[in-house]
Amino acid sequence: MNRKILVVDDEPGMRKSLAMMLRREQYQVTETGSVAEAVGHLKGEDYDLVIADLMMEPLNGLDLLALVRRYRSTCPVIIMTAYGTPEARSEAASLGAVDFLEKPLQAPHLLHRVQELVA
Amino acid sequence: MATLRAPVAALAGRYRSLTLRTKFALHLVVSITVLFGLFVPAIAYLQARAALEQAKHRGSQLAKVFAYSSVQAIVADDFLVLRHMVNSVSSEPDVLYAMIVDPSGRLLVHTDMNEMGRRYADPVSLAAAAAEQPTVHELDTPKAYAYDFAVPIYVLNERAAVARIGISFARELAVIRRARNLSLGLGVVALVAGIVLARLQARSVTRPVQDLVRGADEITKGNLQHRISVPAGDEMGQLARAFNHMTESVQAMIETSREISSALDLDVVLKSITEHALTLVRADVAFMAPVEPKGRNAPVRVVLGARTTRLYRLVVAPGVGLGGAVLATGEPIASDNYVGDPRFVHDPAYDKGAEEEGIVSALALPILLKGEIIGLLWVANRTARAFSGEDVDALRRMTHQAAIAMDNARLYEDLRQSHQALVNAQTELVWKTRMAAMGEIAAAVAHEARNPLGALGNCIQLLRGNPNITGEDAELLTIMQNESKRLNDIVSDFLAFGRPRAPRFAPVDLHELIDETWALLQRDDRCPAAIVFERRFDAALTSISADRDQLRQVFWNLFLNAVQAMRNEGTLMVETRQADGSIDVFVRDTGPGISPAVLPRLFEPFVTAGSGGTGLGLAIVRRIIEDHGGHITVGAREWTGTCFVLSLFVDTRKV
Repeated sequence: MNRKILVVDDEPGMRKSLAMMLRREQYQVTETGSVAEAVGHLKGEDYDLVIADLMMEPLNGLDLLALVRRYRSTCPVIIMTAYGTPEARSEAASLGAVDFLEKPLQAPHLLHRVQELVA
Repeated sequence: MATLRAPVAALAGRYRSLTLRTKFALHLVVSITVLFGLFVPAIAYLQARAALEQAKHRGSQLAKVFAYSSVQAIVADDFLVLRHMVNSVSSEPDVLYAMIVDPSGRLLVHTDMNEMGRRYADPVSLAAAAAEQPTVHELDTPKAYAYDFAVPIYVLNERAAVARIGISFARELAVIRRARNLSLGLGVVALVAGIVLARLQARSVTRPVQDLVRGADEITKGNLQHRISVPAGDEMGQLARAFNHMTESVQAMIETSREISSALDLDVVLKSITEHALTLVRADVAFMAPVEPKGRNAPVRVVLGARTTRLYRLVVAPGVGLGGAVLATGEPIASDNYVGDPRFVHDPAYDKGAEEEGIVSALALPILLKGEIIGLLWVANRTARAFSGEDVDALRRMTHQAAIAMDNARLYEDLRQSHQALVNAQTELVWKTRMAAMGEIAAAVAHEARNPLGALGNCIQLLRGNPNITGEDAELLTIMQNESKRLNDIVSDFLAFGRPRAPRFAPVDLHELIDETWALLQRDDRCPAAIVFERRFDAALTSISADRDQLRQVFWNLFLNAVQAMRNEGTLMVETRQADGSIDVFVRDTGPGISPAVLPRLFEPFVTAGSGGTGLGLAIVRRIIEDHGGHITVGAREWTGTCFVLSLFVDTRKV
């Protein structure tokens, strides 16, 4: 049974390339460009992992993290960002993010982490 | 009284405004006039009275002789004898007339034969005719001063006749008048001579006074070069000498004051004060020694007139030597025999120095500021001429000037430091503001660049998994991957500079970190293999408090710059030196050095020293070092390579 991953990023290039990379690893990936759509997906379906960008408009990755915690308390969330301040990093951790990755993502490292989290 | 007071006051005022010379002459004229005005009339009066008395006495004697000689002729009624008597009497000088009258007043005989037989009825004649005793009457003649002397002639106790003679006093009066005129003449001559003498005398007194007044005027006008000629050794001479000395002193004071206010360089001012002190007391040698700040010793700063170099190296310590005694007591000491003076502690070296200089007498004064001894003024003579109390006073004034100068210099130095601190703070503020603005831009650009970079990286990663991409295509993919990594490094630099994080302090073994960073760099393909790494570590240094990752970046950037500057070969030398809680790290290379054009802006972002790159490396280094409370400087000469000096605190938490 394929693990389901939700990728949330408003940067299409980043989002598509990441989704493609994950699909090649045989994960079932859903892409979305906004937090609002992501919440819709999360309401309709169970996901094994959420990978969300930090900097999005109007709601950002931390907002999504809070919402995930409200609706799906057990689903692990990875926050990724182009630049993470120590404050954002610690806030993400306190909201229960399992990882905080900086772009550009190191593909081997990312795939290894994903494998660990969905196993 | 009230009506008199105003004119008296006016007169007194006019008198006071007279010149000294006029007053002097006025006093003499008044004295002489009073003297002659009293004496000449008194003498003339006494003289006239004596002459008149004598003349009267002579007259009455003559009248008596006339009367007694006539007695027999009267008894005999011998007219011819009487006539002879009258003629002989009247031949006496000044006798106006001689006559004999009978008691009834009838003329018996008279010098003038025409008067014979007449009877005079004038009061003098009546009184004379009636006289029973000899009488003297002044004749009422308008021109001639004349007296009538009458002597009764008794025959057998009966008045038989009266003998009368008239005598003129004109001759006596003429003599008296001549004498009086002579006295008056002499008086006038004496008065004139007195006035002339008085004026001469007054001039001899007032001329030096006028010289003094002129001198004072010149000095008031600011002509301090003016000196007054010194007359002989009387009081005026002493006054003139005192005045000239005072002028010299004032001149010295004013010149030093002017120099103090015009020159802020303490050495210039102290030299000028020492020069003035030397000339003011005509000394042969002088030095000035300010007490060290926060110390007690006074190193000599200005030396004048010395023959040897010994004085230049002298540091006066309290209690040793003449100067030391003054430093210890705060009181001036004058010695007329330096080497043999028992009042202060002798140092063999000092005495030898004094002998080499030929010093005999010496004088040292403290320079006092608000009761604190801040220096020493020392003068000496090679002759036995001792320094006087006046010299001490004159030099004391010079030390006041020196104290003011030293105080001014200290204030100026404080001011200069405050100003420098302000300028530094301002420069720092401008720098930080600029850095913050640049950092914001860099971070914003980097942030925006990272998403496309990330997507690009993902795509390259996906393509790498495609087995159909081979040969040249695979090589192109590798180039893409490398360039993408370079781009990412640049972006990371931008972010490190634009959004720095605060250092996380922990104990760091600095030497280990340096070695580790060098080892890392050696594996990088940007580091040529021929570069020699030389380390001179201070063995006493154990660990410092710092952010290990940030310091690694500092050394990485510095080392990378160095090896890139040296191109193919050279030596990278790292030296550490620990001192007083701080540590200096020297990073030297043997490259071509940094061009002087770039040097002033070397640590600014986006400024490169020609080796390519973002120009952020050294800006990041400086930021990290400053975040650690340290500072970095560069000492560069194009022909000796480059040397960076990092100064850090061993325990940064104390920052």
